Amino acid sequence: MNEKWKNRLATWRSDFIAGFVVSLVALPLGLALASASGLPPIAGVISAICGGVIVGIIGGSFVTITGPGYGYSFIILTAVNTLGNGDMQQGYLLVLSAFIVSGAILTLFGLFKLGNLGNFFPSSAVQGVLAAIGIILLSKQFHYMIGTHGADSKTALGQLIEIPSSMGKLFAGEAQVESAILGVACLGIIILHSQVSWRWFRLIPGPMWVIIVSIAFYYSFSLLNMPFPIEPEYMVKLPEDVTKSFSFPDFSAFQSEGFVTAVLSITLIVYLESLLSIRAVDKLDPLKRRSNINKDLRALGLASIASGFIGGMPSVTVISRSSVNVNNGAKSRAANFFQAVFLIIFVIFLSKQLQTIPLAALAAILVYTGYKLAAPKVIAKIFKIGYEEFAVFMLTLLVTISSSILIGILAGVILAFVFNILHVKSIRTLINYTIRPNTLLYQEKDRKYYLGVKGFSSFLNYLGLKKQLDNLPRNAEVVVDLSLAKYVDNSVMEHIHHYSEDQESKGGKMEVVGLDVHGAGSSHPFASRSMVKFTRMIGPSSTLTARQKEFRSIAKELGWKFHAPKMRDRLGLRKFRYFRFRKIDKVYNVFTGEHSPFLIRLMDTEYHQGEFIAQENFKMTVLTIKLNKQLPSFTLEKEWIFDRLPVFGDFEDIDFATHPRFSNKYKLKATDEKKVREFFSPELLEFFENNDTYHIEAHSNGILIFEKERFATISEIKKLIQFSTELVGRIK
Amino acid sequence: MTEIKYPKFKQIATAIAFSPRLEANIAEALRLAERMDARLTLIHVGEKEEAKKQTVKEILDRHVPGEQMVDIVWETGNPVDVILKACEDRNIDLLIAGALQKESLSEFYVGSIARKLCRMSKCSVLMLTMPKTDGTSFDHIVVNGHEHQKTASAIHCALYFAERTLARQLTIVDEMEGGGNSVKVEDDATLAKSLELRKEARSHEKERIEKIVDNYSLDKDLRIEHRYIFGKSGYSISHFAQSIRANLLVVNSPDKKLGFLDRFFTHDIEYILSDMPCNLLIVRAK
Repeated sequence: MNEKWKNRLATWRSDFIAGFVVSLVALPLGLALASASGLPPIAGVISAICGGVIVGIIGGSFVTITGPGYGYSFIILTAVNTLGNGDMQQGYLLVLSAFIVSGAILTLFGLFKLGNLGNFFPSSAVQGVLAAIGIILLSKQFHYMIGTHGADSKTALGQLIEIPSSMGKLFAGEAQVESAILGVACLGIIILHSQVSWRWFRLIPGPMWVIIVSIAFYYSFSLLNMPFPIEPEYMVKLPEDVTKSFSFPDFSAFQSEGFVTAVLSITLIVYLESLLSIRAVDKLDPLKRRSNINKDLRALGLASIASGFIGGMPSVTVISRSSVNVNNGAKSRAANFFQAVFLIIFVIFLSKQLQTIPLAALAAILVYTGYKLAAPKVIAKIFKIGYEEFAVFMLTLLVTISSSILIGILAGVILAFVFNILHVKSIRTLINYTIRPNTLLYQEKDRKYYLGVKGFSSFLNYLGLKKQLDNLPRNAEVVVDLSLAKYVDNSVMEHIHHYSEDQESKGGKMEVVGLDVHGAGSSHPFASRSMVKFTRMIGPSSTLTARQKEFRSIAKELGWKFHAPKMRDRLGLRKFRYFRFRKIDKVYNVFTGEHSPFLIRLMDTEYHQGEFIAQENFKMTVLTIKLNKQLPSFTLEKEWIFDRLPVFGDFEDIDFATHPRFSNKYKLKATDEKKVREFFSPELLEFFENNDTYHIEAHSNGILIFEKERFATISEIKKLIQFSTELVGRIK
Repeated sequence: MTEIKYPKFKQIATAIAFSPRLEANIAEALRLAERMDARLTLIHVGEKEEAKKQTVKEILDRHVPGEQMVDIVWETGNPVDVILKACEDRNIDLLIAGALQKESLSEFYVGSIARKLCRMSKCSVLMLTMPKTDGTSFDHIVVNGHEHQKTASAIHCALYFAERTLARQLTIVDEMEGGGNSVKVEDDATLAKSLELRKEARSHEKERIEKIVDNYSLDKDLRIEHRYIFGKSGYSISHFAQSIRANLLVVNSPDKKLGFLDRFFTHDIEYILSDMPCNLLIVRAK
């Protein structure tokens, strides 16, 4: 077997495991999203299968997962109702033809390389649409979760207002109480799942727990010889034999007026949701590859066509499942494919068990998803960027939930355009630099590039800038000069930020200059910058918290330096393996101690994993040691039962026969076993045996040490410093 | 070695109007004529009046006392027609015109007459953003070096101009549209391909430019560098000249006569005229 196939097999092995874990999430979500769209639950699973097979083979992205998306469920539900004139079954067959046409449009977008067009929408408007989708999901599904037949109102706002009356119904005994109990319990499980860090609990994804609990709920009744109290109409319905009962599209609705709106709205949502997800997943990719968006759109379109022909929903690239995929070690498109294979196995062999799931349980999953999309935290985040961005966001959100997604995003674009006019002030400049080029790129020397933007830079003319950004070698050191631009909006600031992260991951650098003269909307890095607006910048607070005051006195005792405010510099943390999949957001409260020739730093960091709704934020205190010599790379972790699973690592544990206590206490992984064995002298091994266990990682001339994935207390910090100074003395 | 023809600017003309900038205009033209060993013609579109004549004479006396190497043409009619005809009749090879300054200090607006002169003139045109009585410096010159039959002439003209005006630096710029090739960058693979093609194109361009520069025997100390810039051709060179704060931008003349529509469907030289980055020399070899 040659080297290439060996590598490929190794990749496939990790993809296989990732695909399995993802299928555990995709199954409940597929059932839930299809029910929420007024389609038979199986339609969602078909979408995930078609997406997985087709995009998994001919797609242009690497670690994305495709399947039913969040955005279009209410559009599809409306379309099913209008096209079928109230007949859900007829509406289902008619809407399938809309899926096929939408898939064809998407394929054409891919073929004509129009994948960049999605960047035209201002990012606050896109976020507004996402939040609106969240509110719509939540307000609709909440009623199902508490065991009612859904809300009477057709609009999202009406449904939101109806929530108390539905709860009233529940207490008046008009709803299915058992459904409500299970629904609320499932919501509790998912919320708990996102909050706690019990490893056995987190090993299985949250939505799968919902399925397990629901099925257990059903069987516990039969174990007790009691009749199952929830009526069949509140349960998931699957065809008896999935392989023989495909539904086929009915093309007779072409002429009807609802058809065109349905096709356009679905296409827009699939397009936007997929683009955003692909972009976000690229940042999670451990190998930092750049996806070919056009190729991916083509594959997604074909997957939607295939799915529509056999009764499934359109396929979308979805962020949360992709993020699960990456976190479970996916390396290539094959993971998406394996996900589909597992789903096929599930529906064939588990269809009986799946029918024991009450709809309320699925609704709970969507209520949580909806909440995450429109959480107060998300809204507060946009408010922090600036008033204008917030206005665009809110307008898009409100218009979307009260009318439709197309009108909503249009309203957002128009408002953002008005802000552009107000800032640029001259219509002539605005038109000139929108239709004419306004960017210049040249190589200053070697890896150094200069990228200049003139006139103004906003979502209106971002595509030109994007073309230049795409043409940069990824290890280039780029200076982005915005001094000739009167106005830079937050969409562009955000895009530039994403590119700079991309450059940094490949050894490049991107620095923005020329904004010193601009006024900023807020102190947020994505805030729009304008020569016209001069809002006061909010300076760093000069008041220290109690913890910081303690820190200051510890530092004084040790003769170390203490720096409380946030640092721009990441102090070399990014080099460590641990931070390869985790993005650092903040570094502050930095202690610096010189133990010549070593430099010890202790700091609080905030970082996140995953994107959007799957994003999880962490705060942690870490200690780093900078040495004056090279170390072999290794990681040293607490020996833990679950780490034995292949999911968690690529390398074998290195044990020392002479020091069994060390080997039992720690799991040592390294690329170069020989060098590491040399490095771990008996003296060092004994030191580790006799001290507390920490997570330790060495990388070239740096060592990273931390204890728990949270901020350390004062005493823990003292211990950590003690440990590090003693460790330094034992490194030869 | 083939002889490359470029204008040597022996007959210089400038149009004068009786505005507050009259003296600065004349002073600039005189200084340039002196540097180029050229004869200067002043063209005034309007009635020949005793008062105007007196004003011009006073200015000339202040700057070139005693000498009479300046011709003055007084003619009435349509300004553009008159100026172009006078240039043709007198075999002028460089016409100096002024751009108008906008309210904000850094932007310049090319008036409709100047714009027409740029487009229709049969000789080279030097457009000064802000004529100064004590002389404009042409310290750093940028010239377009794209692959075109007129480019050699434009580069030699820029070298000649730099020599005569004691410029210190000349940057020859190659504009590359997009990534400099037809590859559409979509992912890592296409990016790698584009970068490879770019590298090849570069070595080819470098050779071509070096050949042109070697063909000119320079007798002054001048720093010459060659740069590749990416962006829309015509636009990016203007942006480049502005961002490096060049004093003069040298381009060759447009291939075809530009019409009214070209102001809307902007290309090449129109980009520069619509937002003048610095002084501009449009080279027309006869």
